[in-house]
Formats: sequence, structure tokens, C-alpha cells
Amino acid sequence: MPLNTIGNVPLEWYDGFEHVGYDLEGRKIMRGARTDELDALIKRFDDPDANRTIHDALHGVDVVLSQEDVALIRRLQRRRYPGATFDPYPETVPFDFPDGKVHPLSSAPPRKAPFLPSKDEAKKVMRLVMAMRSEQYQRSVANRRLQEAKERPDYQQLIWDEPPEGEEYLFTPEEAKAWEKMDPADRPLGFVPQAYDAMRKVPQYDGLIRERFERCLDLYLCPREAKTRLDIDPDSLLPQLPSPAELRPFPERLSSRFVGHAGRVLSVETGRCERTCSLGAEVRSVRWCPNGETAVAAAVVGVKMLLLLPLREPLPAAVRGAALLEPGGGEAGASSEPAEGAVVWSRPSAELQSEGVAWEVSHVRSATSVSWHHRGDYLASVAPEGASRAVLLHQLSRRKSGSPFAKSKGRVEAVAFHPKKPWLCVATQRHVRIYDLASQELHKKLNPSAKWISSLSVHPGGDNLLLGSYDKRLCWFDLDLSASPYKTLRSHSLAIRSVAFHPRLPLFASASDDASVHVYHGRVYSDLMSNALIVPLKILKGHEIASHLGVMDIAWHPTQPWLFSAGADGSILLYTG
Amino acid sequence: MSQGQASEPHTSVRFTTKLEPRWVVSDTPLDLPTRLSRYGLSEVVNHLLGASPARPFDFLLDGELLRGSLGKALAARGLSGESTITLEYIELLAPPQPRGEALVPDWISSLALAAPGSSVASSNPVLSGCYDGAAYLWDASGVQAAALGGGEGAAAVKAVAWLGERPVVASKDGAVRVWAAGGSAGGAAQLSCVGHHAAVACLAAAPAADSLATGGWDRSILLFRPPADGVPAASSEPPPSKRARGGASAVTAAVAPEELAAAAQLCGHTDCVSALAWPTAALLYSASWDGTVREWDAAVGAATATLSSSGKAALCLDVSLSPATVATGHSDHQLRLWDARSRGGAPTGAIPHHGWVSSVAWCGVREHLLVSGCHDGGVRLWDTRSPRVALHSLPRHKGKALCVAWDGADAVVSGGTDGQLRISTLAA
Repeated sequence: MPLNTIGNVPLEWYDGFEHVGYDLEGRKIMRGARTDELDALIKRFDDPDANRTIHDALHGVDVVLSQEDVALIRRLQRRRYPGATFDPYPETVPFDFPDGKVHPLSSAPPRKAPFLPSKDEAKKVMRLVMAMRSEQYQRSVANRRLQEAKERPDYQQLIWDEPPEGEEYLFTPEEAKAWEKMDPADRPLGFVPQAYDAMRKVPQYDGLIRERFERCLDLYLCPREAKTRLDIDPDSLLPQLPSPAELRPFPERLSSRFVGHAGRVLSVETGRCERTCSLGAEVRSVRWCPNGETAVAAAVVGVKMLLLLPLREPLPAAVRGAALLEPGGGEAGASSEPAEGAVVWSRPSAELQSEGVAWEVSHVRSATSVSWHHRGDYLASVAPEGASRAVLLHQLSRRKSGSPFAKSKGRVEAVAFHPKKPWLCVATQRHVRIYDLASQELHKKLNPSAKWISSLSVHPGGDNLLLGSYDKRLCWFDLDLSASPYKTLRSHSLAIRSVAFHPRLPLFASASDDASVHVYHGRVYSDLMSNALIVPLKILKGHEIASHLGVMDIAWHPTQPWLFSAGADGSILLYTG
Repeated sequence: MSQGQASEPHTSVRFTTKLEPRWVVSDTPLDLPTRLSRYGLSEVVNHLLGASPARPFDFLLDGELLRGSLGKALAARGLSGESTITLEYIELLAPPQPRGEALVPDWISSLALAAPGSSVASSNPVLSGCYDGAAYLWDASGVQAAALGGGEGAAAVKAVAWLGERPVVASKDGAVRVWAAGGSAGGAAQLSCVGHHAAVACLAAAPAADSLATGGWDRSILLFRPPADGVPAASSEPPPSKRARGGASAVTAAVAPEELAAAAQLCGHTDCVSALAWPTAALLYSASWDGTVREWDAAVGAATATLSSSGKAALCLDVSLSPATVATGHSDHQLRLWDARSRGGAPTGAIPHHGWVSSVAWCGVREHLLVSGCHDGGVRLWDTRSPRVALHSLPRHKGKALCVAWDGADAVVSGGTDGQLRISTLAA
């Protein structure tokens, strides 16, 4: 149906016409067929839609309302919402923008009021200002200030007028003169300290600007300075050592295992178990006489030093040894009465004699080690707790013993004879002293940085000395070089128990509680200008740690590059090349 | 032939042999898979021969025994397998059979076997020295026949040898005693060779059985010329060489052996002389702990050659004449082979062991074959053409094997620290 566009004009203006108005394009909207009252009445009865047919006067037609229109009218009549499905109280769904509120809820421009000074507040302020201007308030403020001033000291005045402390910083005249003489670059202070009688008289530091400038200049020029980075090949720092393969022979592998001892054994030589001696107490150290022509061994058992002979060996060396130790033999034939306090040699008991023990010498305290002179006539035994008689020197041929020291210099740990000179090296807990036995005086004192020396060995050449210590250090001393170690090797992980030089070959070894033996090549040059060459060669393993003890002692074969090691596990191992 | 076999590598092989003609196969090259090892190749040859009882063979490639597969051997030599290779086959040595064993009360230090053909060889050919101070005679199956010396306080026997038919026993106290033929002279030795002032370590008799060489810890080698059996010593020896030990020996002159001084002393070693071998009348070989092996002219008494092994102590020595090879056992767990004719120089071969090589003996009749005793207890039979894998292992000793001996034919005897004397024979 076209829309009537006549606007808000009275409809009776069109009463006399056939049309009731005009549509959007200006064509006439024709009036519908007029029905008279009778027809309307009849139609009201006949037409089932008559009750919902209304006359649209504007367009001049009858309109039949639909069911929805009727329902809508009904809802309006009951003052309900026009829409049937409209929910006036919907469930509130709070919404949130996942990435912040980017859109304002309302696009309305901000109000003007927040930008305008509040008249209400202006009134309040004006009221306060008027109150503060009042004479009464001014008076109360002045009174309060007076009161506070009375109670509070004048700190400012106090500080400013106090003379500064620190007269020690002031220069004495000599210092001032020295400062004047010094080059400005060398002066430790860039100014002369001066005294002022009040802080407020202290002037501003006059070098401030210059110092700031120089500091800024430093920072500014700093990046332009050429950086000298250390560019060193790490391999070049390692010493140039020959390869161990070139230094053969040395002990490389385990060859034999001599088992059979129960308990700890400290030093043994080669072979099948030819003989077992039961000496009645804990054997701490055993050494063969180094002179091949006399077969005698010395053992330290408890407080005694025993001299043993090999049994049933009618070989010349054994015969000579036996003859030397016969009761009437040697040069001691008709010796006079022993002097007061001298150490007496005595014949052992019958059962010890049947074990081959020829003589015994008693220490005061329990002895721990024994060492021979290379000629085989003298030997020394050590009892660390024996104070002034800790070291005893024994002479085999004259059958005499004596203590070389009048008083103790500390706990003696080990002694060794010098192979070429009449010197005795005595290792106490911290130091090694070398005594000249001929002139009876101290020849040299060595200072290893070790905490507790355990063993020492003298190089067969005589100019070098090896020290092992319980704090894992192995120190090589060159006696011609200095009193401090030439090299300190810290390769063991636990305490070193024993060190030994090979009597002929340039080898030495150290035994440790970590159950390993380290073998080194140690070549000494006869040329005085070149230092000894030390090359680590091999770590020999095979022992087991028993009650925190590993390898107790080592001994080299006199001619072969073979090493014997005695372990706390009761076995003796032989390593050969 | 299945697909899988077709793709595996093959090589062309020609078989040759020096065996008698009925074992010879045609020299036509065969195409064989390289996975074949000795057993497979032996089956192939047997198949070609059509031998009804299969005969095992061993194969030589470039003069070395084939161990492992053919492919591995080719790879080790850098051969591609495209060219024809020549394999020589030889008779396979059967494993030795144990013939007897005996137990002695202490360690067995040394062994000697009488050469076949002598009268003792048929009766009691095995002579063993023991650490209890006695030497024992055994028959060929390990039954004890006699004990020489020993008793309370006797020094351990370190070396024994047969001087013709007379046993010679050297002990740790430096004494060298010669007993009557066959060890039958009752309780006392016939001759006592004096001169060593330290323990004796080794002993060798000349092949003509007229001389004796001893070496020991005094670093010298002494040569003795004992008179022939039955001839009194006084007739052949000048009076000053006889030294009576004292009045006691004069009283018991009927029992005490005659003393015999050394005819010559060979000096040159700087450590214990550990082994001696006297293969021909002129040449004496000695090994020492100083690492050298020396060849001496026994008549002149001078060293003629020195073989050096860079300071590794030599513990045992044996000389084979047919390839003129010296075998020495060393403390660095190696058995070294030297060409005796080269007069010095490097060893021609080395056989690694698992411990000190304490003893070595050549077979004698079969070249390339030797037996070694090792401190790990093993006694092994080696072919010099197979330096890595032993031919056979003889029964092990508990503890260390200390001595082995070969009688020059088929019997091998070994002794060790378990006191066991084991006799084995090789199949003919």
C-alpha cells in the first residue's frame, strides 16, 4: 500500500475528492470504495474478521489486523512491554576485554566541570584566608614561634661556628716541604690540608672543576685506549718434557704379588719366601746392608734395633757377615768397659739367635726406621720420641753406638747418610738439617714448606735430596741451588709415606696413602748450569687401602728398573719394566 | 645358491702344499667366500681330496698361520681380495696329550730331559730340581725313580742338566755336583765343581757331554771339564785345582765328592747370568738380567756376539739350530726371537705373554715349534709363524710355571710352584 504524503493536514480537505492524498511519486492515492451503513452492518455480521477490521482514514482503506497486531494491542492495553520476547531484567554478563579496555564505554566528550575551578572550594579557601588574616590568628602564630625558639637550640649556628676536628691531617712543616718538592703527579694528596675555625669559613674546593673535567676526560678517552689482551697459547706454558716412552726402562706393569704377611710390612726385598723370622714384636722397618760383600740386615722391632744374618747360606758374603758379627770378631775384640750412659750392644735371647739375630741395640722409645751408610759399616736408627737420643748411630765393625746430638731440635722423622761426604741428613717435622759428622757442626738447613715430613732420600750423586711429606708434597731439593725446594710436586691425593731414588738409574718414586705409587724420571746433569729434569712417568696401582693406609714403603731393585712396594693390605707388589 | 650367499665377498684362492703327493690338490684357483677360517678351508681341501676320514690342515698365508677368517687376514695385510692369493696347507698339530704327572714336596725350579738314544732316555729320562734341596729322577710316565741329594738344611736346587748320562745338579749355595751315570751311585755325588761364590742360576752341558757351563749371581760363567765317567779326577786335573775343604772331608774321603776347579771363566755380564744354552760344541749362549744375550766361543773363552734388548732382564734362553734362532724370555712379559746369524741387531719377533716368561724350550725336530712357561701359570705351545695366538695350551700350573723342557722328540715336561710335574706328549 502506497504511503500518503500529505502531511499533517486535516483530512476533511479531501472530502470532496476521489483521492485522499499523494504517494511518494506524486500520484493520487485513490479513496477506497465507500460502503454505506447497511453494507457495513451486514458485513459486520458476515465477515469473521469484522471485529479486527479498522478503517484507515488517512489512506481511505480498511485494514484487517493480524493475530500478532491484536496481541500487541492487548499487551499495550495492559501496560506491558510491546515485544512479546523482551526481557526487562536480563542476566548481567560482566564483560572484560582480554587485552585491556581499548574502547571507552561511552564516546561522550568529557564534561567541562572537572576543568573549571570549583567555586565551592574557592569559597572555603577564601574563608580560611580571611581567618588567617585575622589579627588573633597572627598573634597565636607569633606566640607559638616564640615558644619553639625558646625550646630548640640553634643547630645551624652551632654547626657553622664549631671549629672542625682532625688536626692530624694537617701537614707538619717537614711534610709540607716534602709535598712541595714532590712532582705534582706523584703527590698522594692533590691539596694541602688547612685548618679553619668554623665550618662556614671552609671555602669551596678549588680543584673541583678541574677534577670533574679530568674525570670526564678519562671516561671520554677510555674507549680509545688500545686493550692489551693476553694472547698466550696454553700449551706454551707447559714445560717441554720428553715423552715417557723415550725414557724407558722404568716400572710399567705389575709383575708379581707376594702375599703371605698378616698385618703391615714396611720394607722387603725380592724372591720366593726363603725364610720367616718371628721377631716378637711389630717390625717397623727392615733394610739390607748395601755392601754386597756382607750379608747383614737391620730391622727395627719395638724399641730395639736388631741385626739379622741369613741362615744356612754358606756363601762368602754370608760368611763374612757372620764373621763380622761373631761375639769375639770385629775390631772390638777386647774393648774396655762401656762409658757411662753409652748404648750397649747385647746378645739376644736364645730363640732370637736361632732366628738369625746376631745383636740387638735398645732405644729408649720405640724406633721407627733404620738406614745404612752406603759402605755398610755405619747405620742409623730413629726413635722419634726419644728426645735427645732420637737418632742413634751404630758402627758394625767396632760394635759401638752413640747419639750424635746433645739436645733435640724437634721430633726426628727420618735420617739418611750422604753417599759421598760424611754428612748426616736429619728430617725433623718441619726442617731438614744436614750435619757434618767429621767436624760435628750444622752444615746446612733446608726449609721445605711442608707441614710434616714423612721420609727423605738422598740422590746417589749426593747433590739432590727428595722429601715426602704427610701434606701430599714431594719436594726436590738441589743442595747446590738453595735451601728451598727446586720443585714441589703435588700429585698425590693423600699423604706421602715413602720416597726413594733408584741407586743407579735416573728414576725415583713416591708411595702414598692413596694406594698408588708414582714413578718419575729424575735426571741430574753433571753440568752445573742445567737444572735437574723431572718427568712424571707412571702411576702404578695395585694395592688396596686398608684402614686408611695405602702403600707404606717402596724399595728399588739395586740394578734393575724394578720397584717393590709394601702395602697396608699385607701384600708386596713387584713392578717391572 | 641363495641370494644372501651370492652377495658376500669372495676371493680367489690357490692351494699349494709341500706334503707328500697323495695330499696334493690341483693348483686351479678356487672362488671361496672370505668368511671361511681354518676349519672351513680344511673342509674344502678335504672335499677336493676326497679323503674319507677327514684330515685337519693348517694354512699359511705369507708365511704366517691363518687364524680367524680369511677376510680378516686379508684386511690385516691390506689385500683387496681381487687378486688370487696362495695358501699353503700343512698338517695341523694335534693337541698334546697328558701322559703323566707327579707331585714333589716343594717348588720345581728346573727340569732336564735326556736326549733320546742314550741309555737313560729309555729308563729315567726326566731330571727335576726342587726347592727342597733335592733333584729327582723320573721315568717317562712320571714315576719317581731316585732322589739325588737333599736332606735337612740342603740349599735349594736351581738348575739341573744331563752331562751325557750323568745328572748335574746346581744349587743356591753355589755348589755344582755331578752324579754317577743314571744317578745310581748311592747317596753321594761323584764330583763337586767349585768356583762360584754366589748362588748358581743356570747350567748347560756341551752336546758332546765333555764340558759343563754354569752361570750365577756372581755374574760370571764358569766352564768345567769333568773327566769321563769312571776315570778318576786326579789323573785329569792338576793338583793345585784340588782344594780339600778341611780335615773332615779327608776322613770321609770315600763319601765326599772329588772337587773340580773351573777350566775357564767367561766374564762380561754385568748382572746375574740367568740362562745358558750350548747347542753346538763351539758356541755357548748366555742370557743375563742385564738384558743382554751373549754368544761365546767356548774353546777360546771370548764373547763373539751380543744381542741386546734395551735393558729388559732376560730370564730364560733356548737356541734352535735348524732355523738358527735364539728365543729369550724377558721380565717385560715378552718372549723375543733373535736371528742367531745376524750377530746383534733387533729381535726378529716377539710373542707377548701375561707375566714374566720364566722358561722356553724349542722342539728341535719340528722347526717353528717352541713351548714357553709363564709366571701366570700357563704353559703354551707356540708356532713362530703365529706370534699372537698360541697353538695349544698345556695344563696350567697353579701359581707360576717355572720350567719347561723338551726331550727333542715328542715329550714336553713342565714344573711350577705348585710342585706338579706334568708330562705331555705330542701326537706323531
